[in-house]
Amino acid sequence: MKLIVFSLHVLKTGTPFLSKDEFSPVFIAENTREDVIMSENEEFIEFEEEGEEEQDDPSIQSKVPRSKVPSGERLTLFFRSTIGPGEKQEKLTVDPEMSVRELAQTIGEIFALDPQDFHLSISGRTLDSDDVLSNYDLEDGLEVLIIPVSTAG
Amino acid sequence: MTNFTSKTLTKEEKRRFDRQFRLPGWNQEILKQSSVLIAGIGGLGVEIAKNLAMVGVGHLILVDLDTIEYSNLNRQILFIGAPEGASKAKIAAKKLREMNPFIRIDAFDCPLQDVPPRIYNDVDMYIAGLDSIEARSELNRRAVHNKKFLIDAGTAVYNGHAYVVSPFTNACLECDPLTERAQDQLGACTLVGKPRRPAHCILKGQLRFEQKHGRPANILHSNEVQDVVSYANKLLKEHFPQEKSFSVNQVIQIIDNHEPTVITINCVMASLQSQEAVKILHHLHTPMHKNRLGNIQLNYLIYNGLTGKFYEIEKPRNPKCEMCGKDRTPLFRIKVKRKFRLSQLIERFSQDKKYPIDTEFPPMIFRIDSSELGEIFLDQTISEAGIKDCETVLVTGFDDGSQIYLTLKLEG
Repeated sequence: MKLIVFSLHVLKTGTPFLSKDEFSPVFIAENTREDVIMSENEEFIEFEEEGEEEQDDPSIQSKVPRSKVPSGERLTLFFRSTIGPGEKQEKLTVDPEMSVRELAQTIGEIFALDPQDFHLSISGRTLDSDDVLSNYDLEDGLEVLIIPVSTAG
Repeated sequence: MTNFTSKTLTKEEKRRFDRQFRLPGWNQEILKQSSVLIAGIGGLGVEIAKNLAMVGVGHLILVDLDTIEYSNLNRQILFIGAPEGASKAKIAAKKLREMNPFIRIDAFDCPLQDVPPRIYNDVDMYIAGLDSIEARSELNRRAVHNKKFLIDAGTAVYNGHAYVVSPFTNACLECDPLTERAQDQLGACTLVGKPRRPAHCILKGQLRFEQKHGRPANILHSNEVQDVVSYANKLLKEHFPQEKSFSVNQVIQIIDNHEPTVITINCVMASLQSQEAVKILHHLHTPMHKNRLGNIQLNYLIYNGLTGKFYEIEKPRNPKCEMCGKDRTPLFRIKVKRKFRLSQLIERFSQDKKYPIDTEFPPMIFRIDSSELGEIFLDQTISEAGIKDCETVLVTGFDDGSQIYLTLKLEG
């Protein structure tokens, strides 16, 4: 959660410190806490640099490969439905610059499903309809799962 | 180690749980000392709560701000005979106490955010039977911050998913953000214009009925629904001639929007959640790896009730995740006396942990463990600020705009 605060609030530091022994708080970084199963080497105190924010610099963007597939090439993906009355599999060759929404539309037609009723999932990541395919790490021959939008409780 | 000669289990408990004592690797004492928070007591939550109560989990905390509706009774067995409008959490607790008098059950009929932070800290794990993305995100944050297992699940028509989040081990719910299903809604501007999608024809039919009769169509009156259906199909023919005309059920689903659900699918998913919970509780209280009961399913499970097939998806962590990724806001736990002043606490933190204060935008503290978010003024003591034990706050105003989470363990 990134809360950006634009308010000027003057820190009041006029109050003197209380006796150290009595009220000294003890700061415990989270990784000192013993956990039975969960991974224990989580560093909670990190001084990582802020991520680059000057994304409008075109020279930076062009250096970052957006996908393993060179532009202009087409991508063969295998789609498998986990929803609907029968498991179906289809091979489809797509343009990596295609939007996820467009792809879902096409898949909906092929599998006879309403695009609102499924998400596309590749290697454990759910594709965002507002994204284009090339923003994901896609390789030729990958399996794309058609998964339910199961949010009801 | 056998439960038959246990000193912490009563004679009645031994008789009641006799058959499960005989399960290999089972330990009733562990379950008796365990506590689980169940968020959402609906189709899934009722079944989870029932299972964990029956199995003898010693302390259940039920959270749901919803009230009982008659249409819940096709699947939510704990509410049969209860008055409509009663609190789901309270009624469920009452029924479960009758079913298993050996356990403790607490009910909260408030938003998840307003459950005392201490409970999130103290329980062994969380289980979700929620129906919204927002509530899942909130519970996920608590799970990551408190490093607790979270077992999520959800259903959609004849499908369901179940997923155990083990913070910092597999993906948390924020690693692969959930997205809500896009709802068909007519913007004010489209009311007069041409329908842009087939579903808009139904919405226009619904609107026409409402304008004509001053109330929405009653789905139990076939002539009223038929009125909407025929108008919608007339528009459909006009604007989308290639589409198949709408059925009565399709129209009902749009004019009276509720998720279709049935107890059979709910029970499958809730039982998967409950079984993982039983193993996790055994694991948490069994220090020796080799003695642990089974293994936790850390993959995302999908169940298709129409084909009877299960699918398993591995969920790797996302290094860019805002909750558990590399650049997440760091969290610190602090033991501190209630009469300590917040301004001094921040100053001490800044010195101890080398977080220089931003002189331009000096520190501010925000309440996040509450349905009412807001700033907490620094010029007061912790108790004056109404900060609760184990509450997590967000502190902004360190150099380079960095911020931290502080979890305050209160003393004195």
